[in-house]
Amino acid sequence: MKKKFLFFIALSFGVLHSSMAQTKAWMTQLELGLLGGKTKDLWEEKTSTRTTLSFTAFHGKEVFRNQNLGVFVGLDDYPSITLVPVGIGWRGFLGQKSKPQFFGSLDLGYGSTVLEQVERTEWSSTWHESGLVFRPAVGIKLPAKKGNWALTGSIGYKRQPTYFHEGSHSQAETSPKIPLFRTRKALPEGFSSLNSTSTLYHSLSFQLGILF
Amino acid sequence: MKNRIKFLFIVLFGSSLLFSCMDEVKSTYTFRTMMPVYLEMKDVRAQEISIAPAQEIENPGKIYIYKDFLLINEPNEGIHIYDNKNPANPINLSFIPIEGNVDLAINSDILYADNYVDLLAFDLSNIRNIRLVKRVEDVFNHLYQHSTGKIITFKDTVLTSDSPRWEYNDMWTVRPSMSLTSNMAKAAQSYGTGGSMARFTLMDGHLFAVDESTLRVFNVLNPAEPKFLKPIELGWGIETIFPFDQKLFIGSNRGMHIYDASKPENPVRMAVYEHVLACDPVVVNEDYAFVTLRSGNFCVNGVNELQVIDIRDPYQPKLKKAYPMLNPHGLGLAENYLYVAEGKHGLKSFNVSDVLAIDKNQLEFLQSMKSVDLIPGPKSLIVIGPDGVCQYDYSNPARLKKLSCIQVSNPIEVS
Repeated sequence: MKKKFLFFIALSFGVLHSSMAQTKAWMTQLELGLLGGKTKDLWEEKTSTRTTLSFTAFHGKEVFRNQNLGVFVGLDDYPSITLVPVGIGWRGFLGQKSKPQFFGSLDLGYGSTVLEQVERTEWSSTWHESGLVFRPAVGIKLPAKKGNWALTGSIGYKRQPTYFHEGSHSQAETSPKIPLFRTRKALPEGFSSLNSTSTLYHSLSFQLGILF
Repeated sequence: MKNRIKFLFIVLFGSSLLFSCMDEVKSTYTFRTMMPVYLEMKDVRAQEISIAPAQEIENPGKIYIYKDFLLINEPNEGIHIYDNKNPANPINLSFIPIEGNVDLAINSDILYADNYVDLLAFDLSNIRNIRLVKRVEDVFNHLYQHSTGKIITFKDTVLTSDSPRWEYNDMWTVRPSMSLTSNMAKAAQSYGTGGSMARFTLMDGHLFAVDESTLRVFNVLNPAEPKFLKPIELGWGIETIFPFDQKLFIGSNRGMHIYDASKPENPVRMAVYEHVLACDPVVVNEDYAFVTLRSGNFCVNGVNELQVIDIRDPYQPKLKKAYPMLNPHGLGLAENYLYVAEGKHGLKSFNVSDVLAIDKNQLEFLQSMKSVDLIPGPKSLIVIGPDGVCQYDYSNPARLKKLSCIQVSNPIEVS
């Protein structure tokens, strides 16, 4: 998992860096940090904390003074699922660029389950599904004394629903189609029953990053 | 600068330790099951049955050919009527809405159809003006739930429960994979066999209806005045009934019952040919009965074969020969040609004039034609499968030619 995580970070960095227009109007922010929360066991009355890695790469353009709109891609490694959130984002700064600035950010998108596998047996299939990802945050940008880059630190909240489905096939030895969104139909075609566990992750996000 | 970063790090990391966000974890269990539906027959009878305009078939049940008409049951809903003068272009004429209907038979322009516990008779002499002429009450009374006097039927339902138990509204349902009723209803919805309700056939002025355990005899010598005569207990697992030469061949999941119906008002058991548990439709000619045994949903024995049973002495049926098959469902016999629906594997035709060499006389194996049941009709071979209700020109049994398909909105799943 660690290898996958590092590879993904490197890949995102490369893609964003190569696509970045070298003008002041464009900005890229790479953030690595932790997502923390409390999770309750479904069957037992006990809670435990979770702390997992999270990475976000934002690439945007300054549309108004200190206001940047763009796209983001990320990687969230939750205990039972690894998601690739993609979507649109906003970064807004207060104050002069040459001095430390407070900033606010908002990411809104979809948590792709592209890294998760559909597993099938003769009798059943299991798969993951995700939903809307939402992350508001506030932070501080500390510009470097030399060069056009800065360090950032932010704290925010991240909301991310995930679903794990385990469906029994209506007929053995068949491979019913896995629906993209299960909610469209209570029981997807080709399945006789479906066990679904939905987890809505409410996380505190703490991220350090570089901005250039 | 270094101090600032240090400060920022301490503040933010410290905050992150104060997690107060609790994840919301929920588990649901969604399943298809048969929900009991309780009905008062007086309410059912109070509803007027008026013929409705043509409707799309959702799920074809029993199919019946009569003159130039094709009647297709929509399980528990009613009967679709098609003008089938030209099998290449069947025309959807009308729909008779009959609650709780799973089977039908026609005798001299009178259509018999079950309506939960009642038997209805409709006059079809004017197809544009179908009329209900008779209701025989309380004949399929196995549907009554005796403790309440209400009838109990089952509705295919998808339920979602927040717990892995299957409790719902003060009553328990069962997982569909474990539900006998579900399996039976599934079979009934597929092709008119294996249902928990009646299956009909006509012979010598009498209507014979079987449910899973009972044969019921009606006198229909006066077609518009059906009279219920008697029930005959058969034992469990009854699936199909095939009339031939004053005999009734009743397929059960344990074997084949042969009844002498030369006195149709009082059929007498001649023999029971027993085999291992399997699903087994039956067709018959003068000398032999052809029975398919298959493994599958409710048919758990793992045998897939075509058995030829010598019935020249109907008191002592003997297995003549058995041929391995892939997964045979329904079958049909037209003169010396036997057609076998092989489920997902396709459809086979055989020349069976030499019953000891049927395997050597396979005429055609259409692997693309997935099928669960078929009826050799006077004008066409009607095949029921995932494509709907299709008709084939079978004037050359070695080369079937597709004429038409009636599309259905909820096609049969073929295992």
